[in-house]
Amino acid sequence: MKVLIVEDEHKVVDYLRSGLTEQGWVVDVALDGEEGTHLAIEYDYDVIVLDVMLPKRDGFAVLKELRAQKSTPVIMLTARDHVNDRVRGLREGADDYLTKPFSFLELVERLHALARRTRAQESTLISVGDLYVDLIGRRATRDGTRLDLTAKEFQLLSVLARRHGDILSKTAITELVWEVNFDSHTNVVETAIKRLRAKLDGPFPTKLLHTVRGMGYVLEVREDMRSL
Amino acid sequence: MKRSSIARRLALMFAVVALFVFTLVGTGLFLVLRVQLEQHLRESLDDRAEIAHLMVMHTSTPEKWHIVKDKLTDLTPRDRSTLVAITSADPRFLYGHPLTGVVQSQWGSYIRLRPPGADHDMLTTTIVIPPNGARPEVELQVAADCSSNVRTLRAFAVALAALIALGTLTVCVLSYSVARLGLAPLARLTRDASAVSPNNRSQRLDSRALPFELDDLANSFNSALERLDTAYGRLESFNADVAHELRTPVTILIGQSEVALTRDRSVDDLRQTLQSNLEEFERMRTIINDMLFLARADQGERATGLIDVSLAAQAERTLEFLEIPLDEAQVSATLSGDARAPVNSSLFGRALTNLLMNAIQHCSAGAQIRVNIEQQGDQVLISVANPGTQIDPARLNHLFDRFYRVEASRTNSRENHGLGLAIVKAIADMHAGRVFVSSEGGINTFGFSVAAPQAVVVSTAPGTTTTTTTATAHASLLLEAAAESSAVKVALAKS
Repeated sequence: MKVLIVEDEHKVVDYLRSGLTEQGWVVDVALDGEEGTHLAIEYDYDVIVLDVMLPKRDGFAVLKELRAQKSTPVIMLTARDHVNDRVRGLREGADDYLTKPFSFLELVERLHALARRTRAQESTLISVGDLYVDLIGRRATRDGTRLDLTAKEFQLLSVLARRHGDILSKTAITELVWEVNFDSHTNVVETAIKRLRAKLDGPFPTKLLHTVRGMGYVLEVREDMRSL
Repeated sequence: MKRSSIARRLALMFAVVALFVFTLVGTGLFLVLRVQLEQHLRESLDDRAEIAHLMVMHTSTPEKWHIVKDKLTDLTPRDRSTLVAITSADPRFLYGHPLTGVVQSQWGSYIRLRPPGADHDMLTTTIVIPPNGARPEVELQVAADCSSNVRTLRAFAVALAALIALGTLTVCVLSYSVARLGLAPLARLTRDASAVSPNNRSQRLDSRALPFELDDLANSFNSALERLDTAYGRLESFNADVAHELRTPVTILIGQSEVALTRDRSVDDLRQTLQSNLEEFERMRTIINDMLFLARADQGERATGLIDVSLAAQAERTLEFLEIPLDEAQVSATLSGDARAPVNSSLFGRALTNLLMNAIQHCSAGAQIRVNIEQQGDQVLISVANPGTQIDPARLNHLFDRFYRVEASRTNSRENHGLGLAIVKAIADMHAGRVFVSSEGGINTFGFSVAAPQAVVVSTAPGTTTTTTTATAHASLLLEAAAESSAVKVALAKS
């Protein structure tokens, strides 16, 4: 997976590069609009992260020139939370936008969606350790025992299971499970996770559902509980 | 371009008017005088002619003619301002030399002529005297000098012109002073207006002390000040609020990062510090986003991506989302009523979530929260009522203010940073609605409304209602709707 980051803020570039590289992305960086245009047109990327405010040539100009030749998916980063910027970006061919400040996890989510990454688990039966989640039969078992889950708990589990190994932010979970896409300032996700955990991990010695403090939740088998 | 002065312009206009009126009056006077003088001249001419006529008429012989001639000479003044001449066919009956010259004008028997070489006109009249005895028919010509009339008229005209000029000048000077005096209220207005500054924003123009002509100006100036003041006040409190709310997380971040770096820490300790930092950063991000959201609503931004939906269906979704918090608090919620309105469903959900969370936090276990939706005129009211302790009426009006908390302490500030209800108000504003609150009989009701264009409601069967609205969706709105829901779409695509 190749991603091009067009952004002039060095600190942002640094953490995006190391973060995305660690997640298995091949990262190219352009520090201004001209270089960005050049790279975006010369090379094939799976997705491009494009800042609006850039030296030499702004994001909209880069997008316009790119769109004249290529349809590489573009996610725009904007510091201004103005409707006009968003509408303009989307009208001129951006595929998605993120408003600064944004979380790294959210960016990764969007990148995956845009790059249409073939997910590791497309099957309807997902296994994580001794957990089996049957998406068609809508049932989950652990160690052969059926878990007694409510509809929402099952939905939450299947969202985590589909992306097992990835950290899912609270925002992402709220969107995927409840289709709510605003900062709700509620403890819905925490409580839902707590309840799911009681049923999923409570009776079993190996824990699968982990909290990554400050970031979100991950469903995975861990050798060492303190490793993250 | 030279800038104009009202006083100067008024003075100039008054002067032009005065000049016009003075000239009119002067011309009139001049004409009257001329006619009168002419009249006077003719009368004196007639008098002389009459005397001469009588003398000549009764003279019938050449012997008596010299007497006539003597008398006629007596009649002629020494300055020759009146002349008499008699012509006849008989050389014995002659006197003087009749005047000839260029005829200037003729009025009846009066002829005005200019003798050759003379510098003024003479007015003449001629009488034909029939024969008497030996005297044949004679022609009597009497002439009078016009020069004194002309001199008088000329002097009069000069005096008049001088008076008109002087009068106009006086009017000019006086009207300038009067205009200055009349414009004094404007100067006062200016003084008042210049006293308005950011430090003295409550200063207003006192329109009661002004002439009524300036009322409108003062009032529109005042209302402009009012609007600016409100906007300025909002901006100021926005800055103060943001600074205040960010102070705590920044203090925590600085402090714990410094503590973490003062000693060698284990990886676990450092990880904990980072995680704690992340939580604070998240909190700051939330505050920034919410404050920007409120600022946009303050600036009058309207909700976009409006879709005409059943609000009850939207409320159902919100209640489903809040199932767990409701369950945890051991309270139940009922939903009644329905209406359709064009809303941004994400914003609507957010407002209702905030109201419900507020209700959940303020009622005890076993209580029931009632959500009601009803149409009132062109507004749809959404209310959330919960049993709770009476709220001080003085505080009711402030509940939707930013960062206003019923409890003075900030103990629960981590859970909800005091913007929940302010956001509800912002969302109501963005939908051309309002917020309302009441606390009566142990029931606290919080609600908001959204504008619903006058809808034609056709009841087809009990329980089913078809609603047609006149709401139109612009292309840009649809695009915006796509932007708003792209996150959801991404999410849906994955699941």
